Amino acid sequence: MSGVAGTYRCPNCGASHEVREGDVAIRCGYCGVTFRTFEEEKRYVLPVHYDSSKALENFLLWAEKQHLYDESLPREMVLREVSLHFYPFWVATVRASTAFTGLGEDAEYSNPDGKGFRTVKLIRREESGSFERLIEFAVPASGEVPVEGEMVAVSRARLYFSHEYVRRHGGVLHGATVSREEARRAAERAAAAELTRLISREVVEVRSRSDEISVGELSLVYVPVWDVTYEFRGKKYRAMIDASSSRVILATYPSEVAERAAYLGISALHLVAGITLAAVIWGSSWLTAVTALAGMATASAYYARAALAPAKAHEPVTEGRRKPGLIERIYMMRDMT
Amino acid sequence: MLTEAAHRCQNCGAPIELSPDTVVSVCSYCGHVESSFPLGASPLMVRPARAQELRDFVERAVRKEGGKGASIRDVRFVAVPVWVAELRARTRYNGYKVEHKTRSTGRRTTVYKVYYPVTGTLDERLAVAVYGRKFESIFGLGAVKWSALTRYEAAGGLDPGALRGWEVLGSELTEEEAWKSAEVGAADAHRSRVESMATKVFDCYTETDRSSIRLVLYPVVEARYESRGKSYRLCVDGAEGGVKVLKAEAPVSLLRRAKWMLVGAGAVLATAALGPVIEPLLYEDVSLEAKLILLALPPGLAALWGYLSARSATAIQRLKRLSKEEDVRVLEG
Repeated sequence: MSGVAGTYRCPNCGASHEVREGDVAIRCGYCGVTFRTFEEEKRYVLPVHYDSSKALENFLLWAEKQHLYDESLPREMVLREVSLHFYPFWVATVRASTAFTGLGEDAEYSNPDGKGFRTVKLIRREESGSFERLIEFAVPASGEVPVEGEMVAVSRARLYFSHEYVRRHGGVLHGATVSREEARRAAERAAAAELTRLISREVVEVRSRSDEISVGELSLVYVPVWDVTYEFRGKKYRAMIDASSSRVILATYPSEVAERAAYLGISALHLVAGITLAAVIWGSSWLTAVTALAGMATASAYYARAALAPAKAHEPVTEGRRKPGLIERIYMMRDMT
Repeated sequence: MLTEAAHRCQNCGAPIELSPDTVVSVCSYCGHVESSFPLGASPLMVRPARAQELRDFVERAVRKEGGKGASIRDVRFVAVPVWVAELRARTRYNGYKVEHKTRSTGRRTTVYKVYYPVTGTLDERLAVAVYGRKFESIFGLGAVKWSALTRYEAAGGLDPGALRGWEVLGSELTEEEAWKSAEVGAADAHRSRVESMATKVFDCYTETDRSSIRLVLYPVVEARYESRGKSYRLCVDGAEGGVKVLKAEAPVSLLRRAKWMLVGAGAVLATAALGPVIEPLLYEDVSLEAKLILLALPPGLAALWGYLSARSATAIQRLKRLSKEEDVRVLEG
């Protein structure tokens, strides 16, 4: 008789299920959803480098610099639940190549003006080309993970998965609702979409296209996340902290009324100043009045937005590049349909 | 992938941090290299500065960025794997650039477009940096890659003594994967340059010829520090003779916020002062297109100053980029 391999949490209702060795799918007795255990798969886990107290400490330090943060949080917060969860992600490297023919654009110039031309006529001509890309692809295998941006670890080596590792850290293992096949199809769709993007930069009409997409080894990686629920002055808040890097994945926190009021006050000041200036200057120059109002009103709107925004944030890993790179784009894809 | 059994160095028996995806590992005790594929050339390393020098530097940097009361919470000395590929990239491009010119005939001023063909070839020898880890990043990675690009020529063979105390990360990219990423990086870099030259790009095709590729271990110090109860990150170049802060998060003081508010208001008023100069032009005999541009320009600029100043004044921290962040360096061309 096979022994208990581990305990899984239903990704739909959160009920715990003991799983025996060899059990690959479980039908939840509480909500009826069937989820996968992937016991037969080669699985990996990101190591837990930060225990709950260290993770919480880093969270509070990070939260303190966020907008509208209430300074009395560390003194008055009451921890309701602190638990370690291992969420599954499918990751793979995808090789994608394409050869295409189509109609590209070119220009015919006329009416010279110095080194340039006054008239340009766009024409189309036959073109062909090819692209080859290596794409890193990651998608949550369970719908519970609130991936707001990139799912990128922070320079920590992955380990081979074992139930013993999860038990040792007192963690909860989450079942997956996305099968390997579904993940593969999603990776292929993402790769095809990227090839389409590359092709559309070169031609306006595609005549023929031949894609070769090969999804490398799809691995299931469990990411350890501290899930913290806390109360502050009677209200509940939540923080999800990566236990491997202590990066705050997503958090809500109490907002300080005084800070909200200050931003609203600054917003009102800018708006009043803009309207007053506009009214005073209107008689002598309407354009000056409109310009002053536009500038002050924009600043006012920004301060108002800061005052009214929900107290919710996350800590990015890739810190504000000019435009999202390929890797980030693929990571943001969550729609599996 | 290297096997699970390779958690200990096969040369000296020292423990090695190995992930299932590691394809090249370096033992920080004896410098022994293991690879799951035939490595074209041995990995190199950029020599790290002495540990004490780095600790002292990080302390000074933290006090400088965070103020007198700032303190270090966490420091990691990490040798990160960066593949540096040298290749020749030839890009042929075709497009045009649009400029607006004005012509006055008597009282009438006309604005019209002139199209300049932008056609040619970029032919350059490039060095491209590719981070050797998958699905991972570090704070300041862009700057680390640029540092690797500027120092890899001076990199030398592995010196285990110099790596003692450093966390050495293996590469999860094979040489072929690194080449593919480098070729894409070169093509993207050329495309960005072409797009900056032209208003519209019709074609932009890049061909590459590979020259050489090396795996370089680059020393980086990652730190978290605390200032007035808030946490910030720091990335320091740990190379010998080149220790410097690459990227830093720093607090924003109340004075700085007030300064941004005042600067913003001043910029809006200065832009508004253009009104009396531009207004008469709207009644001149100019084209409709020109009138629309003149009408929209001052309020548009003022709105921009308002947005930028409010954004700076409400920022939760300052992000200081103290080094270039590029993946590609032009060697020749």
